[in-house]
Amino acid sequence: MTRDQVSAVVRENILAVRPDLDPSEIREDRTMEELGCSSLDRLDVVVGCLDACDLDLRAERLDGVTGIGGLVDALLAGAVRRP
Amino acid sequence: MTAPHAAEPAVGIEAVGGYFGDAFVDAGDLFDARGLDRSRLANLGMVRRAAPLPGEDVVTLAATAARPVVDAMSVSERAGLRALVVATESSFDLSKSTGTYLHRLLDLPRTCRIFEVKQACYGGVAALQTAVALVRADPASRVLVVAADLSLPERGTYMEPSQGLGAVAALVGARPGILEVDHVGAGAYSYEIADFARPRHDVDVVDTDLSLMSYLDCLLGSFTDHAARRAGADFATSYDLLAMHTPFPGMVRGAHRNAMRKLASRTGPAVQEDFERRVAPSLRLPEQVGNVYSATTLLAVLSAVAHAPHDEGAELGVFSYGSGCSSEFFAGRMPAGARRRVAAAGLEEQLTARHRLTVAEYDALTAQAATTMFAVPDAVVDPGRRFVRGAADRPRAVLVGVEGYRREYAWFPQR
Repeated sequence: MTRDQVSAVVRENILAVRPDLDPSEIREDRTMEELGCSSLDRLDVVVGCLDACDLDLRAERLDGVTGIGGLVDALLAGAVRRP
Repeated sequence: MTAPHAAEPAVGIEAVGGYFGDAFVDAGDLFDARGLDRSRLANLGMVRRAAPLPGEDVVTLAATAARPVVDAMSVSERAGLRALVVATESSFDLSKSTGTYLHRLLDLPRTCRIFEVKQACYGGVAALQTAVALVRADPASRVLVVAADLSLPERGTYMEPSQGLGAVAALVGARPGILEVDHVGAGAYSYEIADFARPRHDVDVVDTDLSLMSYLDCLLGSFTDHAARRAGADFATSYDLLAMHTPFPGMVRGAHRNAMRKLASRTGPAVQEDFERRVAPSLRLPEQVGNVYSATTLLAVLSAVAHAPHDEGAELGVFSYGSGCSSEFFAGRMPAGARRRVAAAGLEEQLTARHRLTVAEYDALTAQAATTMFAVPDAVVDPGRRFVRGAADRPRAVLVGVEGYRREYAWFPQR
């Protein structure tokens, strides 16, 4: 997957969990918390993204991740490392 | 599914006690006072948060919870108590265990081991399974497990309304009238991760997102290990009830929804119905208390048993997660009369009888309690102040003072 593809996956999953959000607010320099997503919203977004990227649910993938851009990076790294 | 306990003599929980303080603050009141977003309260799932009172610490919580259990034992049963295992992540001493103080306060026999277990919120189940193993090795013996914790969550965070205090005591033996515990088939799943740590008693280092993901990772991993040990174990169909570690009730809802999809390919309205039927009973007590860390999974177990639609032979799936991290999924079976025996512990009545604090009172009392909750060299505590607020009629252990780090406790009323 390319970075743009992963970025699109993250955006789609945020909007799937929180369809009330303004799509223009979903930028890589923001955090989901800033957008008003609860911790459970964020969990659902991450699980949805992992599924969409065909990655195992591994907590380590989130270690040190901050912000939407960080999530994109983490998913991309996971997809690259995947055998 | 193969009956998980068929080949093993029954060992498990014979009697229980609990104590969750004499005061609470309403979760909604705390949201309003802190300016938190009220729309998130439903997701959090909290109703009331147990509040600390001056003179309460991990010893007073643990001893008060365990006292009725010990008082109900005969002289010969007490003599057969071979271990006291305390699980906590809020001990005030790095060497001397919390159980030593309990041993004195509960007047336990000297022919009894004392030790402490720590692995964040997994500690209570780790202690329970250790106790089960000890009783299996010596079926005539009993082991007293007490899980107790309190905390000082950061004011104004979404953690604050959901982090409580309290203790659960469980007497483990070979005549389990409350829960037969499957030891051999228990699944484990552990790895190192930086989701939560308490490097000092007053410092909680938390990565909430990492912790929720790790909880879910461990639920899937420990259940998979459990299923490998118990042929036919099915997350959706093998358990009449589920009791899971409850950092806040909403997390359990989210974890159940994800586990049903990942482990049993179930989605949609049936998952919500399944949650209400199999999981919601386990949340009735935790939602009135808050996260009690080491004691939380045991509290969820008691809640599930107390609110089970039936008890004779009901299968309970139990999941415990402790940050850092270690986790376990095990099966238990409720013998006939289990509900009645848990009800006899009077937990619901105690929770109802607590005193409701205003947020201003909660802030003032928490600040005062914090001065002696953890290690201090010297302090004088006026126990009279807290009993103004006590409601339920039961003996409570109290900290009366600290001198040269030596802590002195007493019973009120006197033993």
